[in-house]
Formats: sequence, C-alpha cells, structure tokens
Amino acid sequence: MDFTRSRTWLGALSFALLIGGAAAAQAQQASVTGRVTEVGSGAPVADAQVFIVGTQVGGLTNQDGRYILRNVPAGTQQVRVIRIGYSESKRPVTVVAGQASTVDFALGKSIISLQEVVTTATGETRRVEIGNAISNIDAKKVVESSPISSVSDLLNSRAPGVQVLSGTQTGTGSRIRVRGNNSLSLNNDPIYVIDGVRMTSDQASGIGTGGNRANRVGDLNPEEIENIEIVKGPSAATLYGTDAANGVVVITTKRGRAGAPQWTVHSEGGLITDRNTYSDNYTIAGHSPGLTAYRECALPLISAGTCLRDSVRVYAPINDPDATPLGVGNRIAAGAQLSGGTETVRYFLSGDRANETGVLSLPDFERRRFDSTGAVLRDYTERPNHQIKNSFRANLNAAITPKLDVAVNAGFVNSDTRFSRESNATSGLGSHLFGGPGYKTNGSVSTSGTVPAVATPLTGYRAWTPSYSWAEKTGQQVDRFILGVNSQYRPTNWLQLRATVGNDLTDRRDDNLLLRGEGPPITSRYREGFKDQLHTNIRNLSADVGGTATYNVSSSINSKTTIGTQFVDRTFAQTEAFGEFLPPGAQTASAGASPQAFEATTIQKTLGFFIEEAVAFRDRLFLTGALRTDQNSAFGTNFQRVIYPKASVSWLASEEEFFPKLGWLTSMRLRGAFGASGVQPGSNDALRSFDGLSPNIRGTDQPGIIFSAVGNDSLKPERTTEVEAGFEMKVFSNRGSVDFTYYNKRTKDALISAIVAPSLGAAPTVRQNLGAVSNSGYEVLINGQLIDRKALAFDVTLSGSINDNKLISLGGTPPQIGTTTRAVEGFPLFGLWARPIDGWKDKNSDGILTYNADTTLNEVFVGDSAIFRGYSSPRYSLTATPALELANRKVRIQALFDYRGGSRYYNNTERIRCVSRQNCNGLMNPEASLEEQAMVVATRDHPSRTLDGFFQPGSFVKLRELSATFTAPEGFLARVRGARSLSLTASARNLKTWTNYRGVDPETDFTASETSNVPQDFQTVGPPSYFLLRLNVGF
Amino acid sequence: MTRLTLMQAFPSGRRGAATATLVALVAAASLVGCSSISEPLLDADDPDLVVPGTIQNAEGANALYIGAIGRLRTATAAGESTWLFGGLLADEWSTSSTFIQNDEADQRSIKLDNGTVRDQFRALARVRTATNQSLDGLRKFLPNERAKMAEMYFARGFAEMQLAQDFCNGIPLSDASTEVFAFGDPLPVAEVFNRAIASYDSSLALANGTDTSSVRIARAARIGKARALLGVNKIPEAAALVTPALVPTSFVYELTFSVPGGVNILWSQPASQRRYTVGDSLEGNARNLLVRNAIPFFSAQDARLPVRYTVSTNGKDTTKSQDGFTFSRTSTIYGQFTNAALASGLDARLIEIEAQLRSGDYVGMTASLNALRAAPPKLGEIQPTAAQLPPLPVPASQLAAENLYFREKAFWTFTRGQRLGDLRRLVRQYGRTVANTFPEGTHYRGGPYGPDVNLPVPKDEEKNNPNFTSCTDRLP
Repeated sequence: MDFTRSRTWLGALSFALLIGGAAAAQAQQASVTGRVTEVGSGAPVADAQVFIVGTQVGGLTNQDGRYILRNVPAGTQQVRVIRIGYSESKRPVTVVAGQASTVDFALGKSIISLQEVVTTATGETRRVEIGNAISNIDAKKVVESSPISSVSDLLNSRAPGVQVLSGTQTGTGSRIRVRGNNSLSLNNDPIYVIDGVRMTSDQASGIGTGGNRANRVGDLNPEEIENIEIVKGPSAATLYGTDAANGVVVITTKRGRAGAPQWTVHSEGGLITDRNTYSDNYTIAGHSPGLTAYRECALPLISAGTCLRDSVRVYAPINDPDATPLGVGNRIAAGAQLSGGTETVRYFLSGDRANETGVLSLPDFERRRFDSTGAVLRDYTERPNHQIKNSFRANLNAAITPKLDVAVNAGFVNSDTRFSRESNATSGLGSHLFGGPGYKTNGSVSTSGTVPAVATPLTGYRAWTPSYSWAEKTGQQVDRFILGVNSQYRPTNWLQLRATVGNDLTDRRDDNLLLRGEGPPITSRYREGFKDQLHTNIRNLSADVGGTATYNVSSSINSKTTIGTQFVDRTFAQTEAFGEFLPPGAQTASAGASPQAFEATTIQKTLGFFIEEAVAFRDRLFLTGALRTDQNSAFGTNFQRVIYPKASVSWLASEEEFFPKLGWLTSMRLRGAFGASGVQPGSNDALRSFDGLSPNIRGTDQPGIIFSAVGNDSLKPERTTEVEAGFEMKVFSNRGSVDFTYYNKRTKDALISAIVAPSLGAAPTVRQNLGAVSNSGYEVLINGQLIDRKALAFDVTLSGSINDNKLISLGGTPPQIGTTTRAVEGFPLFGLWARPIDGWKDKNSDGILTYNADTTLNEVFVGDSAIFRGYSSPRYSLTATPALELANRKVRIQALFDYRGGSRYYNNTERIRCVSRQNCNGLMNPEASLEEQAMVVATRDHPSRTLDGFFQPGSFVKLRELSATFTAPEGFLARVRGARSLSLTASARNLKTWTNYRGVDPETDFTASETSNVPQDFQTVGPPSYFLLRLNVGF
Repeated sequence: MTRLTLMQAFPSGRRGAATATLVALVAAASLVGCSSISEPLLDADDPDLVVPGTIQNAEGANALYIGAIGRLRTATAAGESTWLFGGLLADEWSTSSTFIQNDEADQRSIKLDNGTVRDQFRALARVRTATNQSLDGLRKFLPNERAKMAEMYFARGFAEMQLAQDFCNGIPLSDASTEVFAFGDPLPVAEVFNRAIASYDSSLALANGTDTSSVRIARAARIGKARALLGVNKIPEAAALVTPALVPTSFVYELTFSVPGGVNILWSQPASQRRYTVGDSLEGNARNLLVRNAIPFFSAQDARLPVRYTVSTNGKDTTKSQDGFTFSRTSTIYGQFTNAALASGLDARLIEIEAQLRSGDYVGMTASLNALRAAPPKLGEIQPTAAQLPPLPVPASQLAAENLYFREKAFWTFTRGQRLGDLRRLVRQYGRTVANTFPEGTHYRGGPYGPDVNLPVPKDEEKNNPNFTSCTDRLP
C-alpha cells in the first residue's frame, strides 16, 4: 500500500469534515441527566441507550441506571430510552440553556426481546427506522446457555434465511449461506465486520486435509461477542460495498460498563461422542462353478451363475469396539472477564482458553501393537484432531472530551490445531475406514516401497490402518491480532464525525510432516518422508471515515445526512517450503533431498464513497435513500467504477390514528427496501498473464514461462439488486411477535467461468460478466410467550425460510456440465443432475437385479438423458426453539429442533463403496432391497453409469440443541461471598437426527469449509455430539 | 404541510455551519473521486504473475521456448497424458484406481465430459499454442536460433501427431497464441496427420545445420514425420525418411526428469501410485476374465517388459492397487527419473520393418525384428539381452506376420503413446475389424467393454468453439 497516498486521502477527508464542524456556530447548550429503572422492581437498568431525538447527543446508562447527556440544545427536546428486553420509552423535556434538566424513566419489561438498535454501515440506528430485515443474535445470552464452541454454532439455526453447515472435526470451518447462492463462479460467503473493522473470513485456510480444514471465522471466540447482526441482502448491505452482495455478518464485541469492577468467570467441560450409525461392509464369499478355490462374488455374478455363493461376510471396523477409530473426545474451556470504569473511561478485559479433542482416537488394537513393540506413539497419531485456543480481548471506551469519544478494541487469538487427514486424501482415514471388506482378516499393510512398512494386520481397513494415516501430522498455528480504533467527534449537537481504522492481521503457520519410515505406503517413496511448511500473512486493513448531520426540518420531520468513504486493503502473502525424502529424524523441508520453495500473493483493494439521506416523519414513517460508488483493483482496465443505489421505507402503521385499534395487536410496522451490491472478481481475473515453471531439459532445470490466464479487460463486479418487503407485528401486549419478509434479488453481470475451448490450448476458463441469477423467498420469525407466570413460563420461537434459486442466463455460453451438477438456464445453481433410474424389475425372479444390453433381459431401466434431480443444498428450513422455565423461573429448559428440506444429498461414500471398494450393501448383500441393487447396477453396469441412486433424500429433522440452565436465586447468592450471579447449564448438541437419507447424516459434508457450493458425503465421519456442563459466576 | 427550504430548516445560527459542512463533504467526495488519489491507492501489483510486457525481449523468447518444452513434457511423459490413457483404451494398461474417468477409458466407454480426457486434449493443444508463442518470440528477438525454432516445430508436429493418433475424426486445431483467438475447424484424423507432417517439414527446413542441436532435432523430426506418414498410410515414404544413415538406431530424443522439474509420470502413476496395472489377457484378481485381442503384457513375461505382482517384502501379501482392491502388476521399466524417449532410432527401425511387412517381405521383416532382438536397445531402465530374446520364426501368413510385427512393436514401444494409434491403423489400413483388434469381453469392473476405439474431443469444445459441434465420427 502507498501509505503516503493513504494519509493524503484520509487527511483530506478528515480535514474537510472537521472544517465543516469547526465552522459550526455553538448554540447555548445544557445537559440532561436521569436514572432508568425497571417498572415494579425499581432495579436499575444498565446499558440502556439514551439520546435526544433528532440530534447526535446520546449515551449509555451505567450499572446504577444513571445517565448524563451533555451539549443538549436548549428548548423542548424528546429524550428516548431503548434497551433490549424492555419497551421503548420517550419523554419530552424542556432544556434551559446552561442548566441541567432531569428526566427519569421507568421501563416496562418486554416479554419479547428484540434488539431495538442495530448497527448499520452509517452507525447505530433504531430498528424501526430501517426498511430491511436484520437478524440479531444475542450472543452473550446464547453462549451462556447453549452448547456453543464456535461462531458457526452461534449462527446456526438462529436466523431465518441463514444456513450453516459445519465440518465434523474439531477446529474445522463451516459453509454459511444467506438467502441462497448468488454466484455461479465466485465466493458465496458473506463478509464479516467486527467492531467496524473489516474482518478476514477466508474459507479453507491452510494445508489441505482431503476434507474440511480451518477457516478464519473459526478463530473468533464466542465468549467475547456481545451480539451478531446479519445483514442479509443487497438491499441492506449496499453501503458495505462491492463485495457485500452475499450478506454481512456484523459482530460487536463486549463493552465495559461504568461502575465498580465486575468479574465474570466461566468454566465449561464435557464430552464429545459420535452417536451416528454406520453401515457395515459386505463381502460375498464363494467359488467359481466347478472349482473350490475361494473367490469373492458380487450379486450380478451370482445371478449370471459365474460365481457361487458360500457365505456373506459382514464386518466394519468402525462398528467393532476394538478397531473403531471413534473414541470419546472432550472439551475444557475456562475464562474470565472484567468490566468496569467511570463515566469517562470504561474497560472490558477478557481471557479465555479452550482445549478440545475430537472423537478420532487410535483404535485399541493399534494401541496394543504400539505397547507390545515399544514403538513411539506420537500425540498426533494417538489423537489426531485437537485444538487449543487462547484468546484475549481489551476494549476501551473513553470520553476524551464531552464531544470526543474514542474506542479501542483489541483482540488477540492464538491457536494450535491439528487435523486428521480425511475424505479425499489418499493418505486419509475415510477411504480405508469405509473401504475395507466384510471381514477382519484381510491381510496386512503393504510392505513394498523403498522404506517398507511393518506388515501390520489390516483388521478390516482397506489398505492401511489409522496409525499409518495419523503418522502424518497436519497442523495449523495461528496468531491473530484484530485492532480497531474508533473515534466519534461531535463538534455540534447536530453533527457527528467518525473514523474507524483497523487492521486484522493473521499470522498463520501450517505444517504437514511425515517422518522418514512412517506413514502409509501410498507410493513407493512416500515413507521416505516429507515436510511441507506454509507461512502466511493475511492483512486486512480498513479505514472508514464519515460524518452524519442531523437537523429537524420541522417538529415532525427529522433529517439525517451521512457521507463517508471506505478503504479496504487485503493482502495475502504466503511462502511455502517443501522437501521430501527426509533423512532419519529430520523434520524440516530444507533437510529433504530436493527442497523447493513457493510463493503466492494476492492483493485486493476497494475504495468507496457513499452518501445517505434518512428522513423521519412524525417518528413513524422513515425514508432512506443512499448511493455508494466503488473502485476496485480487480476491475478490468476498461471498467472504472460501480454505483450502487438503495432506498427503504419503514412505517409504524399502528401509530397512525386511522389504524384500527385491535385489542390483540400491539404494534404493526410495514417495511420495504430496494438496493444493490456486488461481488468483486478474483484479484487477477482481469489480467492476461504467464506463469513461471522450470522443466527439466536435457538434465537441467531451466526457467521458462507458460501462458496461464486469458484475462478480461472489461471485467466488473457481479451486481445483485434486491427488493424486499415485510412486516413486524407485536401482539397480545408484546407477548408475541411476527416478523415476515419477502425478498427477490437478481444478480446480473454474474461472473461465469466461461469455458475456453480446450483446442485453444489456453487456460480452462475465463471470467466473463455474462450470467444472471435470481433468488427469491420468504422468511418468518415468530416469538411467543405462551405462559408467563411468576413460577412458570413457556416461550417458543419459530424461524423459517424458503429459497427459490434459479440460473436465469449463462449469457449465451453453453450449459456447464459437471459429474454431478450442471449450470443450466432455468434451473437452480449447483443442482444435481443425472439420468434417472426409471424403475427396475426382477424379470427372472432370482432376487438379483442385473443389467443386460438385451432389453428383454435388462432389469434396471435408466432414462435417456440427464435431468434435474434436485437442489444440492436445503431450500426450506424451519427451526423451533421451545423453552420452559420452572422453579420460580430459576430453571430454564430449552430445545432447538431444526428441519431442513427440499434438497437431495450426494452419498458419494456409498458410490465409491459400490464402484471401487466393492463392499456396499447393494452389491454384496443378498438381503439388499431391489432399490439398493438398482442404484448399484445403474452406476456400475448400465452404460449410463448414472449417479441417480446416490442423490438421496436430504431432508431431516434434528434435535440440534438441548439445554437446562439453573440460575441461582438471590438468597443463595447471598451465602456465596462476593457472588453477584451464578448459573449452571447442562447442554447437548446434535442429539438426534430423523431422516430418510441412507448415508451417515445429511450434514456429513467433506467440503463444508471449502468455497465449494455442493455439499456431499464422502468418506467422512458424521457430526459429533457434544455434552457440556457450564458454570457462570459473576462477582 | 409546511415546506421549508434548506436555509429555513436550519436555525439562523447554524446556517453557516450547515453550508460549511456540506461544502466540506462535497469537497471530500470530490477528493475521493479524484483519480490521482484513487489510482495509486488501488495499485495491486501481484508478484505471482508475469505480464506480457515483461517478456518482449530475447530472454522472454527463450523463456517461452523453455515453457513450450515444458508443455510438451506434460503432454507426454511428465503428465498423465494420452500415453497412459491411450494405453488404457488399448491393452497396455488396466485401471487400478478409484477414478471413474480411468474406468471409462479402460472399459472403452468414455463419456464426453471425461475430465481427464479433456485435460489431455488441452495439454496437447497447449503444446501448439506454446510453440506458436515461442516461435513468434524467437523470430522477433532470436532470429538466429534456428535449432530452437526447429525444435518448436518438432514439438508442434509431435502434438498434432499425437492428437491424430489418439482422438476421433473431427479434431479442431485452434490457436490462442495471440490475444485474438483462432478457432479451428473439425479436421479428419488424416488431415491432422498432414498438419503434423507440415510442422515436421518446417522443423526439417530449419534444422539443416551440422551443429549438434540441429542434427538432433532433424533426426527427431524425421522420426516424427515418418510416424505421421504411417498415420496416412504412406509406409514406404515413412521408411525412406528414417534409414540408418539418416537416423542411427542409437539415436534418442528424450525427456529428462527431476523433482522440481517434474518426475516421470510413466513411473509415478503406475509403479509408484499403482493407479495403472500392466494389462493382460486375463483380468480380475482371480484371473478368470478373458480379454479377447489383448496382448498378455503381464503373462508374457517378456524380457523387454518385466512385470510382476507387487508383493510385500514378507513375500506373502499381494499389494493391492490404489483402489485397494485390484492386485497390482507393476513393471520396473521406468523409475522416477528414468529418461523417456520421445523419438528414437528404435522407432526408425520399426518403421522400416513395417515397410517390409507392407511389401510382403516377411523373411526380411523377421530378420529385421531378430536383428533388434539380437542387439536390443535399452528400454527405460531395462536392458534386455539377446539371450532373453531368441530369434523369431518367419510367420507363415500375412495375418501371422501382422500379428508378429505389431506384437513386437507393442513390447518395444510400451506406453510411449503408439499402441492406440497402431490398433486404429490395424483397422484402417490392414482390414481388421474392431471386434478382432480391440479388447473385448467382460470388464472386471462390471459390464462388457464398450465400443470406443479412440478418445473423444471433449464436450467442452462444443459451442465454446463456434466451428465445432462434435466428433465427425468415432470410427478408427
């Protein structure tokens, strides 16, 4: 980055804004003070937001509920108080210049707790003034009472229209989609903003495991988060810039409260188990006609009479207690938080440590072997999946002067994670765990190769046992520092200037180590060892500078104008050292026989400018209009700038006099919004370029270059435009609420990885702005407090969504045909396609289906051409969260049921078992149903080789969470010295799944942490279950 | 409702401030929009990339030349090329991997969207584009490097010849060497052979010096051209190009390997990763599935291709292949760094011998074959001895002579990308049928062998090349 230029830019803008502020005449002003308490109990309400309507004057109540507002203009003012969990209140006050006025508030508890203030790109705004649906997750509350170990857990099933699918190993990332997939070729992940700073959220970050791996969102510690807001679509995300079309996850960390220091200590521990059901492996033992020698048959051979069955052998190491690699994992976490300060300086400090070991564990039979031979058993071989994470946070809020606030938010994370190689890695566990025969005595690990392995009994594993897979260490260490400095300057009571500068700096070290003489005999030289070391720096520098001017056009019209600019500079710099053929004991790449070095850099910068005008009429009708324009380093040279508009309306209709006064209806708000946003191209997509390579020519490695990228000078961002409309309704005196949203968004200039004709001898694809994609759907959130008594309460939250996705246009390019998915106009992105299995008939009544080219003999019927078979990801979701409070409401029992449907799930594990491993039910089990046999025959023997049978029903209902929280009564606390609060929570995650899916679990996805959009079950163990006990104590 | 102007909206004491602020904000907006500020801010030079402007010089031309050789390596022995996949479709190799794409090739039932075939087709096309880019640079900046230019034409001819040998009728020869793409029309195999011949002729015209490089390239181009002439059934003409005087038996144009510079994939895929297993006429672990027409490369235990079941060092366990199921039959013919011959004097002799076969001189043909057996050249890591290769008897019939010649050639040229072309020629030029030439029977992965006798031009070519719709036909 050119820092000189950056300073020029920031300085110019700041100067310009400050000039405006400094020029403002100072009217005579006064202060307003008061105390906010709870109706009935009179208890102080801390953290309530108090502000003068139509001005920039505002503040928070302290622990005693007191507040003070300075620089209040003289005259009649409206003071408004907002606090989650309480009804909003507004009172007039006459302010006399130079004097202090007092206004106290008594807030009534709101049974339905909605976040009344949301964070937008232009600052905090009352929810009612926004025309968009924004989901809010009260992270602090959720973490204290639910089995949460990651941000993904926090996001999962708590917001309509937001789908989360996580990897199954500890420390692996997740795929998050908000309102469907917009892009055929680019990333469909939302972006993240933490405390106003642009956050690194790279998917699939690190050395490949063959399956899931870490992502950078997983670095965050949920304990530090106050709340999360999910800005779902372009209509709301316009002002976040040119890569916000997939939504924005806005994270706010905890803040200090003025008052005496308060400690909050938590401790958590529990077990992690695998409660999934796994299929057995089958082998048909038999012999050829006329011979006695043992051979292995398959159902079609038996039907053909070329193999005679003697017995069916059934075994699977995963189901054998002595051979299973599934053990009991554990999680231990503890932390402390300190909050306090004065009216002018508040602080929040926290420190946490989490130690989690996944379920994968060296089988007993292997442990005995290590014990008996005295071989060294390394920790990463014994427990290959493990994570230690330490996180620290210091947030400081200071009122430097009555007009200037400065906040410094600093978070540091240090983690050390190791993963089992899985799924699609040749050395990984899955292909051997699920790929063995139907018997245990299947020989030994191959001892061929330059450094032979010991002839270890396979014990039902395919080619080697877990100790060989897990001799290969795959780990990642991260040091990450996120620093944000935010200042707000109010030169007058109608103007606020703000600046946020932050840097998210990740230092990542990945290593993949196999010591000489260890590991699986994948190739003849594999066991000679290797070391692959990556060192990566990811820097995400962002600066956000702007100002907001408010003025009251009349007593009933308030206006707010915001203007700002934003700069984001993301740099990814990686060096890699690789060396293979290590000498004994060596652990470095440079010790390898042929060390190699690699380097990779990605730079992407965005410079944007926006202006927003918001007008409030009589405090019940709110209109907002805005424009943002962006320039980006990834745009083609022929495309300079993109402009995104937005507009929204929010109307508190029930406040109108003409609105019918219905006894059951407490309030009704209608809202609508329109807006556009984008997704930027890949950093180098626009460039025609060459790569270096060094082929060996006549015995010498020589430096050469090859044509690598076609480039596109006219490349521009994808542009997604969205219209959404909905209503919020509170009913029965705030005992219930309904929030309904319809959205319709259309992506144009969608970037297509247009296929380059192979005969051109160029890159396989080139990015072109050719396509169009649509997403539409409905979201609903219903809260209800069905029972609300002093001793007993019952509430329920229902959250549902429907998404309809369609590829509108490929811009004249032909359909993109993949092995499982196709991009075809008129059909959903990433849909599953196959020639359908139309039916089957056991014509010879032998109980076995076979294919025969002679149609009169053929027993499995397949359609002539591939057709759309279903969405590859769920399009329907419904989450129910009932909660019962007992024992004077000191015990709260809560469940979270999650339904997802409308899709098929690719059971690629079963496919490879049938086609390559030859151990699946439909091929090797004479008891298999004809449907199961048809799946196999259609993909093995029928010329279509169709995968149709493996695109299986993906719908499910899951008891995702169950928790019971006991909150100690005050009487008990009085006996615990210094205790302010105490709660104990027992919780469980992933308890039960109901599904017709034939595989392990329709959330067993080996690509969840990748940028892939097509989940599939491929040789991966299923999602684990967590059983945790958590203690929260406040002092 | 009362409408207020902006000035009316502000109290009098605030007008100045409002005006100043708005002016300031507009000024800020102007500054942000100013390209002199924004352009440097948005600079994002990526050191990973080599941009075209940096290679417009002699060193750039030489780097493109080296890159083109790299492309040729990838399209042959340093990549999973048609040398392996052609061998799957023919009888040299059998699949022992988990990859559906490999199964399709071995089962002679290749889908148009077979990703591996697509990549192999592109790899050969990339040789053409890279050589054309290199030739452009050499002509501009190194016009005296005639041998290098000749080598580029040789490489281009070799890629064209390999395309013609392995792919269906209707091969488009396109070019992306400049920013304006040139899309090729679907050409018959014979026409693609002719294009290869033209490239080889260009090579020979340039490689007319007496320096070592020129002589080496000229010999290689002669062999290449002769092989292309075989493709268009000009056997005598081919033989005349590669007489011992012009191409000695000891000559070899070969690829070399290293870890950073690329290892020999003819070793890596079959012998090291065990994804290909040496073909045989009896397949299946139980060796109970007869593959008609297949040369028993494994069972024959020919000295030129030593093959064995890969057994563990304990001598007991038969090592299974990458698929974890198929017993692995591996050969030591290639090691990780064993040189691989792109063109050799052995090829030249075999072309001459085919001319003898074509002329009906079975005695001469047999004598020539026996001469090779008596003084066998080294094949990869294998140095057969004369004792291991006793003289062959003279065949009694045309059919027997053809069988003998092509069997001998198959062992001499194992997995060097010639077998599939020869099987196709047996049908095209020797009057055989597909059914008595290509592997037939029940495949050990299930189902019968399919009808394919060549690799299809991949589906990705359809519509993305405006001149191409599909293979003209799938005939041999």
